[in-house]
Amino acid sequence: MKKLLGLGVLSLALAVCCGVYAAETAKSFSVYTDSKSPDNHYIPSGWMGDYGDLTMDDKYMGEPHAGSTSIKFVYTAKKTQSQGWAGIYWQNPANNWGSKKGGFDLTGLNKITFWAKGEKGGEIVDKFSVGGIKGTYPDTTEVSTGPIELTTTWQQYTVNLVGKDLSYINGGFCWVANADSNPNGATFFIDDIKFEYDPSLKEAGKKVQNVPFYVYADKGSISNHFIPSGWMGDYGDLKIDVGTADNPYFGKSCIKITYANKATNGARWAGIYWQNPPNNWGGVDGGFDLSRATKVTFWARGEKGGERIEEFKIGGIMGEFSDSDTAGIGPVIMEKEWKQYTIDLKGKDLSYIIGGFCWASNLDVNPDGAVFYLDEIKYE
Amino acid sequence: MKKINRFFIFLPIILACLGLMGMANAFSNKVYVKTLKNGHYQLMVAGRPYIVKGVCYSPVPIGKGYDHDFWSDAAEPWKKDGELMKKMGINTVRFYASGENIETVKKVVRDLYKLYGIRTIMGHWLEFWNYPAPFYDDPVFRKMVEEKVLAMVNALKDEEGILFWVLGNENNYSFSGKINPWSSDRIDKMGDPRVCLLARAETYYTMVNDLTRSIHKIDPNHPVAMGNGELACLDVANQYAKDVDILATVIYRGKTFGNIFNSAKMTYGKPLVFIEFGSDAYDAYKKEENEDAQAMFLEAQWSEIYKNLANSPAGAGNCLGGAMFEWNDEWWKHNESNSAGWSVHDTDSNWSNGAYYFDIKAERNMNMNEEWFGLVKFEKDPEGGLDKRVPRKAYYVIREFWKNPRDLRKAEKKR
Amino acid sequence: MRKYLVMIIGLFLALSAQACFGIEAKDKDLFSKLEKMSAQYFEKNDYDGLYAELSGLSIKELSSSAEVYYFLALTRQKEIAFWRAMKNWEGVYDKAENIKKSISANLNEAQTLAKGNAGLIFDIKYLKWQSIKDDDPDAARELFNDLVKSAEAVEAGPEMLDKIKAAADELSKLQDKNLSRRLYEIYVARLSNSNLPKEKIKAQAEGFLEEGSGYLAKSLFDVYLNQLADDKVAQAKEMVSVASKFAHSGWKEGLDPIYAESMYKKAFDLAGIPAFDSASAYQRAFNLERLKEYPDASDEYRNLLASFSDTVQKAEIYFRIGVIAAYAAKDTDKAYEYFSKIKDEFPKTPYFLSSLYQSGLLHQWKQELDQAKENYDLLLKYAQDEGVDIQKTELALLAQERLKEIEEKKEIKYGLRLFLEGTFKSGIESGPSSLSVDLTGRAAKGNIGKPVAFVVTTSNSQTGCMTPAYSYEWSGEVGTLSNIPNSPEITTDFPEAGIKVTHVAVVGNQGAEGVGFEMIQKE
Repeated sequence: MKKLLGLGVLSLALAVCCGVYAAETAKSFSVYTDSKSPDNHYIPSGWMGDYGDLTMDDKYMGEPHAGSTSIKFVYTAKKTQSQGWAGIYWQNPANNWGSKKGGFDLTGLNKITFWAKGEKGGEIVDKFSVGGIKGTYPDTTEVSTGPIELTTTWQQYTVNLVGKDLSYINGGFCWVANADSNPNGATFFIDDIKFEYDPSLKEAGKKVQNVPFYVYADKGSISNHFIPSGWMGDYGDLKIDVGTADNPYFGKSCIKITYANKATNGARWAGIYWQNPPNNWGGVDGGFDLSRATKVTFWARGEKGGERIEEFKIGGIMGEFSDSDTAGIGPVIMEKEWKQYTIDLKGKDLSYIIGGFCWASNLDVNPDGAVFYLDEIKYE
Repeated sequence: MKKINRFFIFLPIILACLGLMGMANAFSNKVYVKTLKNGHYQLMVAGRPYIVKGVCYSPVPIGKGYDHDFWSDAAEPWKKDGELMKKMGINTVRFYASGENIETVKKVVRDLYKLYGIRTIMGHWLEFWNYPAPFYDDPVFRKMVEEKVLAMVNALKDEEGILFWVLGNENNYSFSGKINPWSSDRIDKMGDPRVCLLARAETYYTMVNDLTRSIHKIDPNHPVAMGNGELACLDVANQYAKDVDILATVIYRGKTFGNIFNSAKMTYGKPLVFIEFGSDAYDAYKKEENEDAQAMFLEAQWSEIYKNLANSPAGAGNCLGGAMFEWNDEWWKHNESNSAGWSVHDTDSNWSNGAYYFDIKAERNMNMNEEWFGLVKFEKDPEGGLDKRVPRKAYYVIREFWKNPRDLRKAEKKR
Repeated sequence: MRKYLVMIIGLFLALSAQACFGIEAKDKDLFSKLEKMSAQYFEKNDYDGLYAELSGLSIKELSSSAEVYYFLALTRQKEIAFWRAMKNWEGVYDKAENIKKSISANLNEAQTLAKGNAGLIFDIKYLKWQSIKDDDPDAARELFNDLVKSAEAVEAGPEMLDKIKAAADELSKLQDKNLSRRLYEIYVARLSNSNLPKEKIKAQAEGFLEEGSGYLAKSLFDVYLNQLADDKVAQAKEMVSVASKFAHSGWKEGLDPIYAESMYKKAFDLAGIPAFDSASAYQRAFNLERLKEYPDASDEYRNLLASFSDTVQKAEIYFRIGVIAAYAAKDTDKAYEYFSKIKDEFPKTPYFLSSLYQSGLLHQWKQELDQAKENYDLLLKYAQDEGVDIQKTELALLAQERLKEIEEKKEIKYGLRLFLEGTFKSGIESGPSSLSVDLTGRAAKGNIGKPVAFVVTTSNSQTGCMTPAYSYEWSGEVGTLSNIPNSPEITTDFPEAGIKVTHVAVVGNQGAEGVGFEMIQKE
């Protein structure tokens, strides 16, 4: 008995003296494990687009990936709100579109993983993303992955967040799908969404975009990229309508640009840059890798014919994050009928493009100003 | 053997040796561009490949201005600078133009080469600053330019230290008619501004080509480079300036050259050397010196240059190196006509460039500080001697880079 | 036999204790001695002097001492850092080459000799990382991972904790916040498992709070609060106190107002009203108001009035409830009720005039023009009685403007009318398809004359790529700003005390698409 006591004391002593103390460290932050899990964070409250096409069951018990439940989404693709797409943002607090200081500080984590499967297989989710909500209290980053085609078995997907500022994330998770890719709708399941830390993970390389890569297809089209936010020169002389139904070349709408001849800001020239993100003059890491493109095509016409645009170009923005190259054509004299123009990209380095499209002209060659239309601007 | 016979045996040998030495002398001076089997370009000097590790050099002391004749400066600043340059690893200086007194110019070129192994790129403005305008479309004016250029070449071509000639600097910016405008009746009649621009380009590049051919005739030992601001209008040069040996560009694109190497290759196809590039060392936003930014930008730029030298695996292989702007701060540059300002290290700025993002938030975005581009800064000598040269961080960073050139993009994963 | 066994066990225990703690004690002395000595030299930036003295030491008795080698390396590393700070490039680039070799050699020697001394090994690894991180980022990453593993694996003595925290503090100044965060998390986990008294943990949490590290502060506060679980009321009171540190105060932005409310709620669930006093009850309600949780805010304000009926902020609270009732709940009757309370109970406060104006405005909107006129007239009368210059004071000028509209049988001024329509007309649905407008003024509370920046943000859940062009019609109290621009951002200031009510209407192609209001308090 005493021997045992002695041995017990001995082992305790040994453990105390020489024990290696493994600390628990928070290396993951859960968004959803099971429906009532106290570990869950964020609420899937931000329904967007054709929200009438969506139903959600976050207690779905049929074959979860792990635990007892998963989340089931049904997207009918009926275009109930005429948008043609739908999606859901997980927010903190619920319904926070950036007007409330909520969010979470996820510094120290560097990826989000989740499991997803489709009911039938073949469901296409346009993107899964983290962050991106703007407003008074904006998310500190936005990262997406996709499009992803789901299978009937649970697959794990990851969004690499290495090197991203995660100090304030309100839009913790998000998915978006569109009706064109899922004409008969899509039913799919998501489970075990969590932020994690992986010490060996390196920063993600820039994803090479597929072509055709649209700058503008139609107003509000999910295919659109870049925003015509960079107004230059006599910006007071400019008006842009990105959704005029006045004889578009293709689809429902086209872009109408009005350049008045007032020289409001005294420059006597004007132009607009399409940028990503908006107003990015090289200060934000927002470039797309468009190396697969060999040309940029677009359709243009002038209101009267004879409008002269000195330059249509892509790239050329210099800053901390500079466009990798520039290419352009000009001068272009518009005709009244739609005409297609091409900017040749052979030999150009398109690995990083912030300034996706640009036009510039001046009053010397347009003494009465100019009104012209653009449509179907794309990299191909 | 009879003595006389021995003499006749040795004499030819001696003569042959002397002859060979003479020829060797001729060879040792020859500079040319070699096209390698893979289409890459290399500058060859004295039979060896040569990377231009250069600086634009204009040692105007504090208190002096644009008209200062440093060539005849009794304090011989080039000796002080040459010593520092050699320690850094610089092997080339670029002068924008030769001096009034050609003998002083020869002495400087010779000193730099003999004492420090530094070679000279000698430029000529092609009378660009002629008042009221450079009348390039006037054959009489062009003749005058040719006379002046050839006089300079004749005077200096036998100097061992000469590397190559540069014609013009950023003269092509005048084609639009908006900067240092020049024209002629013939051109003005064309009307359309774009057509006028192309006509001016044709005139100018044709002139440069003619000058190149003339120089080649009198000096086959040194290549002729054409100065150009960015790659503007090189499609015209491609047609009219085919005899030029080297494209010498002035580039301020921040810490990257972008796609310039491939673009130059595609538009003009000539080997490429930079005759001005770099960064200023003054943060116009925080209103303080920023040596770190200058060093970082220069290192990034050199990394791209090295990536595009001959036989480098990933690049265009058409770059011959470059001359950084510039060796020393020039205190007169901000306002050249204000002589009181020549003694002041002005921190005002006259131009803006977003690629130098570290201080683009300066008032009205004016962030480029002309008087702060030096690798070396000046401090006034209290005893009235030569201004003290104080190397900036970039001096050391580039020195280290040249010892161990590496691809910075691979090293820098995090932005 | 047993006796011997016990003796042997006892001896073993004693020796092991010696083994574990004895060496540490000796090394601790040496380490602190060297630390003190180095500090004196570092202060004078005399690195050569320190290096010489340390080298002298290592030859004498302490030749096998890891500490000395560590400090030799540290001296040189600090010297290089000093040169860098002084822009002594010759030092950094010319002399540093050889010095780095000596740093590396000394650290390797130190690491070999430091077996078992976890604290010193941590310092050595940290210094190793510092010395190579700029030259070799790949190797540096490996070293840092190793450093983190060491911190995780080691015993949590107080010195070790301090070392980890000191390293984390230094790292937090770097751009990559992930580095410091990894060490801080270990530190916090250690702290929560240690036997540190709860006051120390609370102090540590408050330290993090002061630095703005909300995440770390919260982790430690949670630990601290858990330790109070024995006494529910005390715990609840502490929860309230912690909550108040994260809540919006109006003078400053709250560090984490959502967390604050969750803490308030927990405290209330735990102990009810006794957990609060009138100040914290006010803070809870105000925090909810800043979060734009208007129904909850209103409830909490009313709860406060019920539970702390002698609160000095009664008039202010009445006014806030009234404004929230009017423009958030769209309940004009409730609004009148509370504005009347101010009239009855606090006729001498700035809230009195404000409540008269707001009541008047609501009556005017509902076409109850007589009552509207009555309120405005009363406002001007009382204003003059109080010596207020009715030609200069904004509220008085607004009242006169409204009176003119009534007299001339005109509609309410355009921008204001748009706001009122947007608030009260049932035509504008609030659902996922409508425009949600947020009007936020900062700072919500401030001294007279300090500028206030208003920002309008709009979010349309149909997040298309194109940002539409809106017009912004500002109305209500807009302070000294004349010529209000058509802009989502304006900056102004208010020269009088009280609560200012500002409105905005956001107008798109199809007319007003959304409205917002804000309350700014000036003292």
